[in-house]
Amino acid sequence: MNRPQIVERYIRMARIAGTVVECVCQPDLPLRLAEVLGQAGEPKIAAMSATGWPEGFRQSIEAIVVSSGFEVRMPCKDPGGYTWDIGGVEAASVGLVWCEHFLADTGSLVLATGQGRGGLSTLLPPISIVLSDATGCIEGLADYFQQIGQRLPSRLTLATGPSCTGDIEATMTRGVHGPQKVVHFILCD
Amino acid sequence: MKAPHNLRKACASALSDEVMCAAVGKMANILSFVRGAAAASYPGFEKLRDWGRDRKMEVSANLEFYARRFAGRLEAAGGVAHFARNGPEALKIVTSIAADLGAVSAVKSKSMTTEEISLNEALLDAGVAVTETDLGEFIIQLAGEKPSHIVAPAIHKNRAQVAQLFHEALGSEPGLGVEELVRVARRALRKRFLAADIGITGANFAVAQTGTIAMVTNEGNGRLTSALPPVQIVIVGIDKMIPELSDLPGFLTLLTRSATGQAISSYVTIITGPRRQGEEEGPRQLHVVLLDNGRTSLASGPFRQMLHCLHCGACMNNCPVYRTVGGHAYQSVYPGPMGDVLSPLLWGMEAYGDLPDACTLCGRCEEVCPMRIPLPDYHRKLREIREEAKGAPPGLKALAPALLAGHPLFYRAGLGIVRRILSRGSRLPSAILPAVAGEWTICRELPEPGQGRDFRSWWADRQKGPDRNGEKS
Ligand code: SF4
Repeated sequence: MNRPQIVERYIRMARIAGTVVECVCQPDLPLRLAEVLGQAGEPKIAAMSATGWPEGFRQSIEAIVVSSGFEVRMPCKDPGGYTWDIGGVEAASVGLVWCEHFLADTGSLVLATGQGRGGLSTLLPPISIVLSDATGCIEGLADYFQQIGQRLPSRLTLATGPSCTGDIEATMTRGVHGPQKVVHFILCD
Repeated sequence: MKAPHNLRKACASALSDEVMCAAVGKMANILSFVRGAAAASYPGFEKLRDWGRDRKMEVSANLEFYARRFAGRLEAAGGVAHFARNGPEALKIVTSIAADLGAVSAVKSKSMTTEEISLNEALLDAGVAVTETDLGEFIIQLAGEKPSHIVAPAIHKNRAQVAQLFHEALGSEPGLGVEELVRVARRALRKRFLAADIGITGANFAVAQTGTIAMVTNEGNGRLTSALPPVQIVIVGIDKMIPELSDLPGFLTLLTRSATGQAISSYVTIITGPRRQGEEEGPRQLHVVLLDNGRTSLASGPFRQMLHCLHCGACMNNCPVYRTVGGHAYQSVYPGPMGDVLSPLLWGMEAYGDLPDACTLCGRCEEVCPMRIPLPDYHRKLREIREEAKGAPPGLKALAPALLAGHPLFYRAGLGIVRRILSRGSRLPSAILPAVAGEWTICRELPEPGQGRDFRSWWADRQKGPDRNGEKS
């Protein structure tokens, strides 16, 4: 499969799982992002991982978030230590992260921990906004493992769609523990 | 020791709960349908099953090697490995970790292995309040009940019952709908996640090569349990080993497609060691308790492949007995066909010797089992072992059907005799019938005798040509 086909497959699988996927070109991103942020409820607090973003990108995203009226909190208070701002992330109505790799076979986001980043902002707030570059799309988990060798992060999460349960009368309900809504912006040329 | 399981009584009482039976039957139906579709839509699924069985054969032949390798790699990644030969040892390890921490509360993500060793009870005795965080498990924990289905443990309760339960236990408004009930649970459980001293989870797979734990959930409670509390304890049966990281994708595919028909679960959490400095999630301490509890001895016996079980539930969703009576009738942590075999092997024939009888030998379970475990054969073997263990020569009543069915000559002769007896059924005192037909008549009607012919003579005639009624061969 060539790149556009792989991305297309990802989009199909992720939508089946309930993710809202959108391919945007960079100039359109501010507008689209502001629109999604506008739909998020109160309080206007956004959790954003400190690291893991492409060079200079975090600042431009933060600027859009702030101009949409949100206060930004960083889950990891001290990138060299163990202190978290759990209260801050817990209060947030949206969480934003950069996701380097995503898997076409299953429609999954690969969320890896590292210095200054991890899964809290895609786990605690009811809405997750995930940003990626189209070049980060790979076929499956096997390909991902091949890429990283045995250098595993302490936590690697494959997140596919929102959190869901069918435990009461087999009625599918979203957001039981994790996010109720997952929006994935894929930056394409 | 537990009182021996009484299959007939347990089934009778389970069947009297019609709401539960209907709900479990419906759930099993849905899941067996989606599993079929998921298997059919994945090219090479049958080959993948062969591969999975072979990889697990490799593991069950070298259980100790892989468990030790896993422990070494886990410790290299900063985790702590503990070996427990049996349930009591595992409980001691967990309660002493809790005592060292001065822990008072724990959150737990659904794990059958912890139920196998009754961990919740032990922690409660040690002063640690445990909250089950899978929504279904949380509901039945509040209600003080047992799971009726492996994937949907509280499926036997309807929304009105859950609303009443939450109203009484959590103080929510009465009469809430499903969506609102889920919100109530989210709020209540989130508080407990944030306050918990320990997160307890099981594992779906343990990768020996890297000391990695992998677990799947749809709700995300496994993710929260392993992300927020400062200490995580994983209880894992040593049968959960897989040799290498590159085995994980294949096993995940087999598990999720067989369990819920999904290409993947909403969340797969892959854990290698505790949180490292500056990271945004994970515990400061990661303990993994590697539980044997009879697994090593299983590995060297005739039921070795039982160790390959992924706990996917496909066998029960497709089992005619389970679909009829539901999970409660098994009165064991492990229900359905896998439980029929595993329960007597883990807890002894005295306690669960009659579970292998909860099987019609239809073979559906083996057909759908991702690991191709020969479940019907294992049921048969367990019945044989049980009968042999009874020692004394079995009475004619027990022997006769086996003998008659076991040899074509006996079978034909026996069939003739039975037909002749039955055709005079009206003249036989009804009290004699159970003696003749055995326990078969306790819950079934005897067929009307003497109408038509027996199959063998019908078939013989049919082979000769069109039969007298003009039916075409
Ligand atoms: S025995 Fe097979 S089908 Fe049944 S739960 Fe285990 S792996 Fe699944």
